[in-house]
Amino acid sequence: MSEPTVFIVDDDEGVRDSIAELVSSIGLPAITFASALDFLDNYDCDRAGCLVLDVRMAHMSGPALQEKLVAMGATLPIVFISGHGDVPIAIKTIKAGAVDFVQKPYHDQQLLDSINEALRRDAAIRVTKTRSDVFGQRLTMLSEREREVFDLVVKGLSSKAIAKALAISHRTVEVHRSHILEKLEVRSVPEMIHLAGQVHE
Amino acid sequence: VRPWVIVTLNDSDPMMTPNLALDSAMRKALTEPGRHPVNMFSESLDAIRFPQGQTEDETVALLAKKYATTHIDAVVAVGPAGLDFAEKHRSRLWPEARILFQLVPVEKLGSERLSSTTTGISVQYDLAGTDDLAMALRPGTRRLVVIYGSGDFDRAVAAIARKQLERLSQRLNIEYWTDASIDEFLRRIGQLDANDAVLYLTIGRDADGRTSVPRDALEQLAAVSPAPIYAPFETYIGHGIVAGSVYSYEARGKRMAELVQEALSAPTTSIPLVAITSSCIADARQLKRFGMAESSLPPDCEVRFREPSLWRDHPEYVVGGISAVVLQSILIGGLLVQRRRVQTARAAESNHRTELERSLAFERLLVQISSALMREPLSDPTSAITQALREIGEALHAQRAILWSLDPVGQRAELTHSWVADGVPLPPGVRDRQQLPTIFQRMTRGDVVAVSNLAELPEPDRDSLRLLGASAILAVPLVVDGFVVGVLSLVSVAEQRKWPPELIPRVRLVGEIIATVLMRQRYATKVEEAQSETAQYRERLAHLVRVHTVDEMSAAIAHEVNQPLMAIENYALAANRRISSGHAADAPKLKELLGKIAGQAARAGDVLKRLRSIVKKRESDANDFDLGTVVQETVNLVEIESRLKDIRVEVVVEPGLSLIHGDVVQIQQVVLNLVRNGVEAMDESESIDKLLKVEVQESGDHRLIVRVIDRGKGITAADRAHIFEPFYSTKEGGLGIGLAICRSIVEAHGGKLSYAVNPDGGSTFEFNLPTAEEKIEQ
Repeated sequence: MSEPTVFIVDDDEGVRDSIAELVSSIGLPAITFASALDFLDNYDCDRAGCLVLDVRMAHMSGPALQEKLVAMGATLPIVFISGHGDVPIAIKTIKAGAVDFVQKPYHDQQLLDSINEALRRDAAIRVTKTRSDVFGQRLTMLSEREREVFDLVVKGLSSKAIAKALAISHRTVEVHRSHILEKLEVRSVPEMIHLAGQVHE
Repeated sequence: VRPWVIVTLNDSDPMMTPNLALDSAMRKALTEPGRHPVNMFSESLDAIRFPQGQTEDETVALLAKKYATTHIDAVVAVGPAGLDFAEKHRSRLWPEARILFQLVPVEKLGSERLSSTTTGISVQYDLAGTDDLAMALRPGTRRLVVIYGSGDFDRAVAAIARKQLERLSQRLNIEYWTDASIDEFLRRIGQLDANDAVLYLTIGRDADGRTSVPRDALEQLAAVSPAPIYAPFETYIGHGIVAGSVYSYEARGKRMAELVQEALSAPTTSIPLVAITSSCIADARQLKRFGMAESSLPPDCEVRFREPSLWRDHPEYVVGGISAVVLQSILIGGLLVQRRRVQTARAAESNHRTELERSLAFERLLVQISSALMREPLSDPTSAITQALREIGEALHAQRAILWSLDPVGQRAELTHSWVADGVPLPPGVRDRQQLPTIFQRMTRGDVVAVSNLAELPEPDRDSLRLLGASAILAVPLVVDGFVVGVLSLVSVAEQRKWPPELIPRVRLVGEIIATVLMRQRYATKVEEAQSETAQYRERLAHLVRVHTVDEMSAAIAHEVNQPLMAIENYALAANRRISSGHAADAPKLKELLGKIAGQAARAGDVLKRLRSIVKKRESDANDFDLGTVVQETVNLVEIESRLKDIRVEVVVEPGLSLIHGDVVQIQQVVLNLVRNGVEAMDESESIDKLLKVEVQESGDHRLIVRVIDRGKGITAADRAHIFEPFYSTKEGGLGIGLAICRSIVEAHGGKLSYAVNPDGGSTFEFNLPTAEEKIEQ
C-alpha cells in the first residue's frame, strides 16, 4: 500500500503551492492540481490520502467535484477551503461527507488539524476495507456444506435449528462451525457476523 | 452694513450675449458708489438646451447645500424657466428672498399665480411690430416665413408668435418652419425670393438635437437668404437682420437694478409688474443689401452701422477668424494706391506733397502696427498695444495716446492702456459722462470727435478738458460687433493743432484692430476657463464613477487580495515548522519559502496598486501612452471578477500601434466600464462558451479603435436610444452615468463612442481616438 498523500485542488497557484509546502513541512507528500478536471484525469482510486479542495473554481467547483467522487464510489475524505462564509454550501458539503469546511483566514493549526483528521479517517476506511477484502477471500475456501452452515449462522439460526434445516445431526453442525471459524481465522461467531456484514453488498 | 445677497438664476447659458448684457448693466447700476453693498452670485439652469426636469432634483439639492448658510435677499430669475424654478422651490431654497424676474413673456404671466412678494419686468416680444416694419420696408411682401427650432424655449417663443401674428394672417400668407436640421433650414431658405420676408425667432436646438447659439444659426441663415430677415431681439442686430422692434437689454438690466433697490428697501411691500416698451432698430448694411430706403422706417428708428468703414463693411475679416493676411493685403493695397497718387501728384502742386507723403508714412505705420498686433499668438498683448499707442501718438504729434473701455450704457470710460510722451503726466484713469457730456454723446453715437481748439466745445466739456491738461483732442469710438466698446483718444498737451481729416478713418481702423485684439484675448481667456472648468468637472464625476465601480468590485477584489495573503500565511507556517522540527539546517528550502512569500506579497501589492491609480483623487493629466497596454492592464483588472463567473476575456491588440495622447486613467476607466458591462451582459446569458472579445486596431485615418464585443442578450430597442443619457440605467442599483461619462471622456479626447447590435447576438461598444500625432495636427 502506498504512503498516504494529500491531494490539493485549487485554481490559484500561490494558494495550492503554499498548502503543498505546509503539508510537506510536516513530512507528508502532497500533489497539486490546478482544476477539478485535472484531478479527475489523474487520480487513482486506490491511492490513500485526502483531498484539500477549493470551493470556488472556474469550470467545476469544489462541491461539484465532491458530488462526482461520491457518485464514483470514491471514499477519499475531503477538506474544503473557502474564502466566503457560505453557510448553505458548508452544510451541503458536510452532509455529503466532507471532513471539514475551513474558512479563510484560518488559524495556523486549523487546516493541518483537518488534514490529519481526514488522513485518519481514510486510514480507518482503508483498514476496514482491507479486513473485509481478506475475509471475502477466505470465504471462498469453505466447502459447499460449510458455506450452507455459514449462511445460516449469519442469518442467526441456532445449531439445533441448522441441524434440523439441513437434516444433519447437531454434532455435525458443531464440527462444521469449528472448521469454519478456523478457516476464516476469526475468534468468535459475533466477529464473523460483523465481518460478513461488511462483505455483503 | 450687511450686504444684500442676490442670486441671479439664468434659465439659459449665462454667457449668451443677452444674458451678459442684462447682467453687466444690472451689476453696474447696483454697484454705483453710495448704493447699498451687494454680494452677487450666479446660477444657471441652461433649460434651453437641456430638457427641463432632467436634473431638477440634483440642482435643488446642490443649491440647498451650497446656500445652506447664506441668507439670500433676492433672486433675479431670468426667463420663464428661471421664474418657475425660483417659485417652485422657494420654500426650500430661498424662503425669505424677493423673487424678481426678467424676460418672462406677458403671455406666460397671464396664466400664472405668483407670490405677493414676486414681481419683475415682463417682456412682450413685439412680433407684430417687427412685421409691420417688414411691410413698411417692402410693401409688396406676400409671404412671411417664421423660423424656429425644436427646443422647449424655441417652441415657447413660437407659441407667442403664432398668437400675435394672427391679426396679420388676413394680409399675409404666413408659413411656420420648424423641426428641421440647420442644414435643411439653410437649403429651404435659399429657395425663397426677394418678395418673401423671414421672421427669425430662435433655434436653440434643431431637429437633429444639435444645440446652437440662436444668433449663430441666424448668421448662417442670413448668409444664404435671398429674402430679408427680421427678428424681435436686440442682440440679433448686426448679425444679419434688417430691422426689428426690440427691447434694449441694457435698459432692462438697469431697470432690474432699480427694482432690486426698491424691493429690498421695503421687503414686504408688493410691487406691480414693470413693462418696458420696444423700439425700432435697423441695420444700415442690410437695408442697403436689400435696396431698402431708410426713409421708409419710422422716424424714431435707430439705424446702426450707418458710417462706412472697413471694419463695418468687412467685419468677417476682423471679427470672425481674424485673418491678418487679408487685412494686411487690404492695407498694402491702400499703400499702393497712395504711392500711385504720390507719383501723379509730383507733377501737380507740390503743396499736396507734404500731405500725401504724411499719408503714405502713416499707411506704412498702419501696416506695421496691424501686423504686430495680428501676430498669432500675441504673447504680451499689453506691451504690443502700448507700443502701437506710442507709434500712433508720435506719428500724429500727440503727447498722450490712451485706450479707454466704455461701459455698456455709455456712462463711464476707464483707462485700459496708455502711452504718454516723456515728462507728460498721466491723467486720472476714469471719465464720467457728467464731466464730458458732449464728447460722450458723440462717441456713443459712433461719431469721431476731432477738436483742434477747445473753444469749439461747449461747457462743461471745455473746462473739464482744460483741467485735464488737453489743448486739442481726437477721440475715436471703437465699434466691435455693432457696439461702441471703447475709445481711442489722442491729446495734444501743449498746443492747439489740426487733426488731418484723411488720417481719421485710419486711426479708427487701428483702434478697432486693438479693440478686436483685446476682445479676442478676453474671449480666449473665457474659452480657456470654461474648458478647464469642464475638464475639472468631468474628472470629478469620473472619479466618483471609478470609486463606485471599485465599490461594486469589492467582493472580487477582497478575494483577489485574500489569495496571496493566505499563501503568505501558509508559507510562513511551513517555514516555522521546518525550523522548530529541527530542519533548520535545510537553508535552501527556507530561502525558497521566503522567496515565495516575497512573491505573494508583491502580488497583493500589485492588486492594490492597480486599484490605487483608479480611486486616487487627481488632476486630469495628459501624456502619450500605448493604448494596447492600457487595454490589457484594464482587462487584467476585470478578470478578477470575470474568472469567478467563468467568462473568458480575449484581448487582440494589433501590433505596432501608434501612441495616443490623453489622460491614461480616464481612458482606462472607459475600457473598464465597457468591459465590465460586457462581462455583466454575458453573466446573465445562458450561453455555454462565454467569451468576451476586446480588439484594438489602427484605422487608415490615424485613429485607434477599441471594440468590446460580447455575446450577451443585447440591449432592448427601447433602452438603446437612452443608454448614453445620464441617470439612465438598466441595472438595479446602477448609477446610470457610466456610459454618459465614458462618452464625455472619449469626446473630450477627440473621439467617438458608439453602440451596435451584433448580427449573431450580443452587443458591440466601439470607441475611437485620434493618434497622438493626429491630435497635434488638429
